[in-house]
Amino acid sequence: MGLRVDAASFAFDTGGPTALSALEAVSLSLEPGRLVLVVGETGSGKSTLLRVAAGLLKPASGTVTADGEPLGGRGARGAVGLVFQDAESQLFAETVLQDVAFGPANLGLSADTAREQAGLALERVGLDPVAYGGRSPFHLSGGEARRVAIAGVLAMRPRYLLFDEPTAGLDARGRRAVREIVAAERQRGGVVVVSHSAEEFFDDADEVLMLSDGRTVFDGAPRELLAAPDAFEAAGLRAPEVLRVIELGRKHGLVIRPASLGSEAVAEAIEAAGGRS
Amino acid sequence: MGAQRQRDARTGSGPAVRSALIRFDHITFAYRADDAGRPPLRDVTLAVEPGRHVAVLGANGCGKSTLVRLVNGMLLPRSGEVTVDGIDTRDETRSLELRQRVGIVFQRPDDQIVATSVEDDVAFGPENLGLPREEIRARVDEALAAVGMAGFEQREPHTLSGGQKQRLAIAGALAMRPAYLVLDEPTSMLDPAGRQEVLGIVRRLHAGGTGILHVTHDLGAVLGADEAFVLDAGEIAFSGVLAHLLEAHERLDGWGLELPPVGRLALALAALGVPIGSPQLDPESMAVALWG
Repeated sequence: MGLRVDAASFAFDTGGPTALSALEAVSLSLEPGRLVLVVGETGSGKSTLLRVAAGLLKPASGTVTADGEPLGGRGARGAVGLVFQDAESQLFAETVLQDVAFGPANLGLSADTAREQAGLALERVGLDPVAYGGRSPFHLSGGEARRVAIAGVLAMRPRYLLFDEPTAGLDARGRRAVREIVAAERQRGGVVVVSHSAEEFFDDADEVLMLSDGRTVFDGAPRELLAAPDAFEAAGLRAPEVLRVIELGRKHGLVIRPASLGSEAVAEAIEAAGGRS
Repeated sequence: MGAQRQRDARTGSGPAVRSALIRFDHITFAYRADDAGRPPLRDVTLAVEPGRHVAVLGANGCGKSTLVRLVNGMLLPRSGEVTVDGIDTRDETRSLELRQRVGIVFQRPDDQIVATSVEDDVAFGPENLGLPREEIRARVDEALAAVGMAGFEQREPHTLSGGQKQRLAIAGALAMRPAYLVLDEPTSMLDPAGRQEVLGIVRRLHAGGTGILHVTHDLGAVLGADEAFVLDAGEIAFSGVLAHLLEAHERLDGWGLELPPVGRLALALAALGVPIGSPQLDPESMAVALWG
């Protein structure tokens, strides 16, 4: 079971404006119900990995399977859904419902079934299909438009969902709404989230995969990173700001071991380590 | 610059400050009825004096981007008056002059790049002014140096990182030698490294005397601002210095804003009785407050 990328490599595509970064023997294993967070700076290969995992890019070497079926084959059709970065810029239809129904209709479902799945998908992103279905997708707030774009992928009912920077550009409310959607969807299948701001999904993740220059430089549980915050700098990444506070505390000889990256947990750990010196 | 000056900045009282500033005087604005998703602005009054860094904070859809488009006449107010150094944005005879005074940088770097090389992109504005070649060259060099991108002249813009693209967009604005730079969420699509690059440039430009109107939902991006306004559903809900806004942190959530992560940690520490003095918002000053 699961979505598996095994030792996928992809050469840098230098031509054209859609140039993608290289990957070197990167593996990713996603079981149903789990959330894998992929972090890395721009150009580290995060988006390339997502496209490979979604079957949109064929790796030069390595394999990608969903529940044992190779992606691209008949058995894996529709198994993986990818929500692109800035997904709302691809909304195109006259109404929200038509836009969300486009994907399932394109999979060959009848118009009625596609509309039904679209309505349910809108409910799953917290938008009332009656209130929003007839509206133009171009006159929504940034957060609403992002949720409509996510619904467009959910409506195709993939077993595994991949999100590329799902909270980028959104304000506090919008980011919270997206985090809630991601948390709910990982209960239904497996979810991979690519994000350059690690703190956003850090505490929800079962596993963190850190990429640098197309290579895996860390793959493990988030709590391992809490114990070794310098792993971020080692990968050329800015550590989450709260982790940097912990690291600075260590330089003062304090052992600060938070249970999570949440403000309360970190505050408790700082207090337990002696608070102020 | 005490409270008196701030009050003056907002009301625009006194003849001296009246002319040289970006001034929104009791602005109302509404989109057409079929643009229901976008909020109107109601009775918005604010000012950016030369050389000041003013932040306008608010959630998505609060009217921030509308405000940006009112500054240089892309949109015109229904009532009230927007002036830039005394030029009324409704005065079509001065629209070119207006646009030269105000440089705008938008959220999405890719939407702002017009040429196939970095230097051509920066030269685009000055070329449209019909300036002599040597003058254009000088401006391009100066603008690229100001954003730390001297040496990138021949690069193709699509090969740049997000932070570099935004710096290029800022250089394009600077090549017009504006008195004011208006930034519309310039860092929200960038990774942490790109965000730091752009914020560093903004700090430097501010130190060099450029007036800055920085519109964002990211409180952490405007910690260096002289003055902050909160725009909530099209109305000014707060105006004052940033420190006062941070003290009013319990109101932030209602406005769709949040403290940066270190600010939230500071509150959690305070709740546990660990005193840290004034609210600390970045890791280094938090560490100093805690451990000296």
